[in-house]
Amino acid sequence: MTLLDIRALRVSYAVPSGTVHAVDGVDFALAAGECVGVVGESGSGKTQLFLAALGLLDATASASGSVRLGDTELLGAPRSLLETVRGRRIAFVFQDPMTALTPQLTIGQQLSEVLRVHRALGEDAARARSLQLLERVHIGDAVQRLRQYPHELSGGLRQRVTVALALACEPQVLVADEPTTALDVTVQAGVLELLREVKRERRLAIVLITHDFGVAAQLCDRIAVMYAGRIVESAATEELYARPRHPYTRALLRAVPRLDTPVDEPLVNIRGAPPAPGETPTACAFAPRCARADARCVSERPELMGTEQRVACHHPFTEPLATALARRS
Amino acid sequence: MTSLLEVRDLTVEYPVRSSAWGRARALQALRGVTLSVAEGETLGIVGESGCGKSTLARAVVGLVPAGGGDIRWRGQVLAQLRSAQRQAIRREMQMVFQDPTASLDPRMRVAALVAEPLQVFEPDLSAARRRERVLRMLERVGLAAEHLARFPHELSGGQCQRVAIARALVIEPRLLVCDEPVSSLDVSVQAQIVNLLRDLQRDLGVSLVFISHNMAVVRQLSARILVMYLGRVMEVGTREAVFADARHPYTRALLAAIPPPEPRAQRPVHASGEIPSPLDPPPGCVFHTRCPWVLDRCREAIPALESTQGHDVACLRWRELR
Repeated sequence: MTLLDIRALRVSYAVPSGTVHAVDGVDFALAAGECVGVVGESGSGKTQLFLAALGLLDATASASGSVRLGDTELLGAPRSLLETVRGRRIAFVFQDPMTALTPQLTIGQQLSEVLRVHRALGEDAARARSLQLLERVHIGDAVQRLRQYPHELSGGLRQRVTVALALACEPQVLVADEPTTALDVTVQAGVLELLREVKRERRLAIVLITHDFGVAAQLCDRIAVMYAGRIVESAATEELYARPRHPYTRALLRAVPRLDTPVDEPLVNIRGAPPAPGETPTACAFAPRCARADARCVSERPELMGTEQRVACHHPFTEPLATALARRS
Repeated sequence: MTSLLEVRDLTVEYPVRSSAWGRARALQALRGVTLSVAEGETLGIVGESGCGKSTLARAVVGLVPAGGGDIRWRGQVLAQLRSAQRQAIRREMQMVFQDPTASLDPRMRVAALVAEPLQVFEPDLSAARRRERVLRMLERVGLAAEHLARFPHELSGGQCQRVAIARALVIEPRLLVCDEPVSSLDVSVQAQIVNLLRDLQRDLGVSLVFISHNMAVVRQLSARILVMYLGRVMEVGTREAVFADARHPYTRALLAAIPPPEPRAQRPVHASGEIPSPLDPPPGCVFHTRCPWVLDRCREAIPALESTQGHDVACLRWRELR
């Protein structure tokens, strides 16, 4: 059953030189209990897509298309409706927990506020529930933590608090935007494990926005790869990693150094840089960086095709990545 | 190989005041760090926030004062030199920072940014000769004459980092200290900069200190690797030794922490909990609060860096844990 259904979403900003499309026609569906990764580099539009879906865009942006949560259309919905949806049915976890939390309120005050506003709990009930929530995200000494301010907690604990806040109203969908990027590497694993647990136990649908294929592989059932405001490939996680079809996906997967990457040869890299915002490509946006590009790629924009594994490329790869690598060596 | 840089028992403290009325406490950013870098060698320094890796980089190039211990350049103790001699040595060690958009002056064009170190250290150079050196250096880092007139905001992050590298190398230093030089870059661009540093290191014979939190990135460039945690050295060894035979539990935790881009990869978790505050480091082994193999004695005794065949480790239990 599709829970969140985004169709033909476009986000544009008016700039002096014209219009910039941060998101350029994206379809995206999320089923109940599913975790979908949205992987892309900076400027790919991955965050804008979900800010638009939740009506959180900057006032200078405009969005078109459709965003349905169950039977409710969210795009262009009145503020009052969005306020009952946000937090209660869809919750957000942001990259930087320090800016997501209010510095002058204690952890207890912030959790209680959410519970009292959205769930109409009394003071004692809110406190009891706050304690449960902190224990739920494996924060020890919960009674003491409730009295502490965000700055008194470490980065990992703060991110656990924002997950507790997100879970407070038992939402159907959790959108986690780079939830581990600001954390130290040895702390990241714990927060990922927490998200995995939450997904399993609560049948919560999760959107994981990340630039890191390693992080996405740990958690996601399905992955959509974004480049320059569009989805260029989308597939089940296993399939995407075993047989990446878009040249961008394939190059990005190989560009990440691993512990078994040969050290005596240069790393695989992608020439050039992602297009700057404002350069709205009419053909394939990846063509200038792509080794497979030909005349068609610079004149005709490829659409996302296919049913199970969808790819927007005129010359997609077909063989598994491992086969291609074995042949090279 | 002779040592270009030697750091012995280096300690750096920052005074920290928790409130306007409180007494200043000392944050010990580095506690007895010893290392050496040979001519033409790359030393990788790995650690997470609060481990002191940036302080170490800054202390080496003289941006923060050493509290104790000494830093030697070709055998000379820097603190004992007269300022003119020190200045001459400073020229030989240059630094590249994490965020090139913050380290480059936004009001200067690329040509001026790369020419500036030449104006400071080689003031007698003719303008024509200087332009030539700047252009040659830019080409060396993969940029071209068309970039000379650009401002940093007109370049991508990767191009800015190339400018920062050109700026550091244009005066032909013998040591380049890079503090997380690829961490702020997009994945597709990181590999370009890693490859560039590898080429430059090989072609120019410059020594490299490469600092990162990512073991896989450090492994690509470094012949030797030093692992730090809360201001102390945990392990030092050659790349082969550290990756094939990681001895310190923290090194193993760092190795396990990189999620491989493979679905359902099983990953052992080697560190629990959070990094303690550097203001209040644990007694005994600084890693004991997170170590899965902790014993009572780890909470009391500070393990010394023990060396066997050039592979050093500061752990009381490393032999049993192999």
